[in-house]
Amino acid sequence: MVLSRRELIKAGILLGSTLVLGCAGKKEEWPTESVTIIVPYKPGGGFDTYARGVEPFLEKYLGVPVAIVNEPAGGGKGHLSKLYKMTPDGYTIGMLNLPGFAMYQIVEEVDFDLRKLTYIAQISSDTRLIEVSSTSTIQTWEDLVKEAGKRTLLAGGGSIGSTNHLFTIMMRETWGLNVKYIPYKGSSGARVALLRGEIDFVPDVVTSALPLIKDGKIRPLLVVTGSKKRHPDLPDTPTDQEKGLEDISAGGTLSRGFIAPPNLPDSITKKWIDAFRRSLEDPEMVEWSKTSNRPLDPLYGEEYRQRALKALDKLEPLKQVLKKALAE
Amino acid sequence: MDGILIHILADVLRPGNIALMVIGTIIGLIFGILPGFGPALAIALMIPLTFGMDPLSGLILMGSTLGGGFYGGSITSILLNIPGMAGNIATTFDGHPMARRGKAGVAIGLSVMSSFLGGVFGYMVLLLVSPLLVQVLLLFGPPEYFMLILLALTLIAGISRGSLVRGLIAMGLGLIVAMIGLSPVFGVPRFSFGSLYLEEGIPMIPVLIGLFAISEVFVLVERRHSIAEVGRITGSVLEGVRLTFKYPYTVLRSALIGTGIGILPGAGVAMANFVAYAAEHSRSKNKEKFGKGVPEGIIAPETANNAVAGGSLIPTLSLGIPGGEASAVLLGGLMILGLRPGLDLFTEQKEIFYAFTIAVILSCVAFLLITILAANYLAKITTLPYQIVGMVVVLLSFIGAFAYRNTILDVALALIFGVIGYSFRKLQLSRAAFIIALILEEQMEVSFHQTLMIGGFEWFFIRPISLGLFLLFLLILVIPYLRMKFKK
Repeated sequence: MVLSRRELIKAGILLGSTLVLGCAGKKEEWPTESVTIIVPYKPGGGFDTYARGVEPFLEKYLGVPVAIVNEPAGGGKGHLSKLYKMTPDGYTIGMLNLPGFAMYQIVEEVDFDLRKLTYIAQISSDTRLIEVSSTSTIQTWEDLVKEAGKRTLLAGGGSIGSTNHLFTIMMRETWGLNVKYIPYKGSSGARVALLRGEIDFVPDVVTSALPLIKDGKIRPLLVVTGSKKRHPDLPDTPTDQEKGLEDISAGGTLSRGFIAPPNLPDSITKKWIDAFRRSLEDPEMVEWSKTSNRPLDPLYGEEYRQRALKALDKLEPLKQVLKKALAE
Repeated sequence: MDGILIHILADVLRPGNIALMVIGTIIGLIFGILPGFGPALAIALMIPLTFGMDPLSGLILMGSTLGGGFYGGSITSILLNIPGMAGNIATTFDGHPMARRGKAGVAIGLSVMSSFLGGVFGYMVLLLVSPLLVQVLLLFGPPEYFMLILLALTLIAGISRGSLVRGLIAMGLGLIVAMIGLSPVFGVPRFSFGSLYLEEGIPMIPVLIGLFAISEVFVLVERRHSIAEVGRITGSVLEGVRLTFKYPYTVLRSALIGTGIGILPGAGVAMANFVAYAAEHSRSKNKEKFGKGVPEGIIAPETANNAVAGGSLIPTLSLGIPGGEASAVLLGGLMILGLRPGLDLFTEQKEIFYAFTIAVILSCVAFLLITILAANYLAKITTLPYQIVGMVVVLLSFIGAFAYRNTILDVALALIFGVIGYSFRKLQLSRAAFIIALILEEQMEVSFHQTLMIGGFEWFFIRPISLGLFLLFLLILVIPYLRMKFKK
């Protein structure tokens, strides 16, 4: 039989791929094929940026290609319900927004349970910050509380149900602050409203607010770290614990991390955690985090799970209040 | 200008960087041409590629992708009557009729030259007077936004072909469809019937694809003829380029409108091209010729929608507040390359800011040259058999609708709106009025409620800019009646 050139090439490819597959088969250890990370938001946002930032390092340490898929449907809910039902084989993982997704579970009928997910790694946490415009007459946290005694303050942030809104409700219910919430298109819209002088304060997160603070356009009043330790980027701003306020930082700090379906086998979970640990400690990754102003705050496995459970526990007692506030 | 600018210009013009610029522009053009893709997606996919690059090359690649992406959608608006994104819709009004007369080359020439002029104007404003314009942005609070959108919608209903009443009907339907989903103010679901998909709201991109691309295929099949009715192309792209310079005031007015609207975050891209078109339409002495392929009808929206890009970068770069979807993605990418949004961009970070702005301006030159070279070939699409054109459009439409959020339901939605779009054409209802209402409804509703919550109803009428916009709105409503009475 004489093979044509095309058939020869085909045969070559077949032979080559058998060899490659054969080797892979011999390895027989997870992972043998590419893995996927589902990002629950559109490309370009914070979650997406972190996922794409860590992706090349995960590829390096897992030894397989890592694909990133954006599935923004349902504001993150859709992606969680889908992930929750998936086979726990470690080939697909997702991302968790705390306290955002914890709130969904508490106030809505959902088909997932955060308590049962497999926790891999938190990549970042962004501390809540109370800020006013630098042209405002409110100079300190005490001024703000005093002003709230005289009239209803206006706070601004993203749409109803956003983490800014959630935190404003917690400030009202737990700290007893007299405040009304005005929704804007994202917290960036609220920041402009602050500069225009329409609203009194924004319960922002530190990383996003820093550029405007450095420009002297926004004045930070209070960081909600949940401890007496001040935020490294804002050493002159007092914390909630210094002011003797009840600790609601679990509902304030925005945490981003990676999660897998429930009951992921321990051996695979360990490999994922290991890959993340090595990636997040890689000097190049640390350099990326610095230049792109995306600070890292790694927490792995059990520690990360505890962080999520704490957020759920803090929000649970506020269930009725949150439900009412969302239906206002 | 100082020496630093010339120094950066020399750096930017190195051969490797010019190659990147051409690549970025071509990728931007392709993403702009594909229905539903657009510059935001192109830039999002570029960001990982810039990780290994030196900052200047990364800036050039992203800047040129942005420049090309903002232009690409115009080509399909003209050739196929399919706007690549919301910013190109008004271009279809006169661009496509011109192409059907066999003058696709001329129409592309007009659009590319005015896009170039508009783009360069917008970026020059960004380069030279950004810090000043940030102050203008701060004058526009919720009441002003509401009045501005009210005014824009009224203008757009007025230019819809057919009667004003039909324009208003289409717009009302658009507003109703926009209300499906979670209320942006109260967070409760509306018209969602318990479906998570509907709770998310009706997304603009699959609707745009259905209304314009898929319904166009139905029309093509019905017509059973290639797009160009004469079957051959007359006139060349250079004729169009030259023709643009006969309308210097149209270019200037539209560039100002585009940059001005671009500065206001959220209003941006979708609105500017319509407002510029309406402005030319209302000034013109031969109104009846609009919609049949007049040069001003192409120049105005094309200048404005490219000028928007520069304008929308002003709040993005100086305050870190993105003016639109594309600039939001861009901001993320630029921050990775070491750019910090803030007012010190114009002082301490001058070098990086200049390099980026020069890159986008040069990418306008790149898309101008690339399009002029390719236009006469592209124009031949209008003489291809309708079967081929139709098939390719359907395929690309489905891909575009799916790629937006990776869900097959969006493809079904695009199909449904394809049928709706076709019915709209048969009933002579304006699809443009429908979609612009769909896009602007949320901002309008939010601004309305914000005004009531913060300052009460009187806030609309005690703020000078808001009151001024309201009076302008009344004037537009009253003028046609006064004119009629005058004639009698």
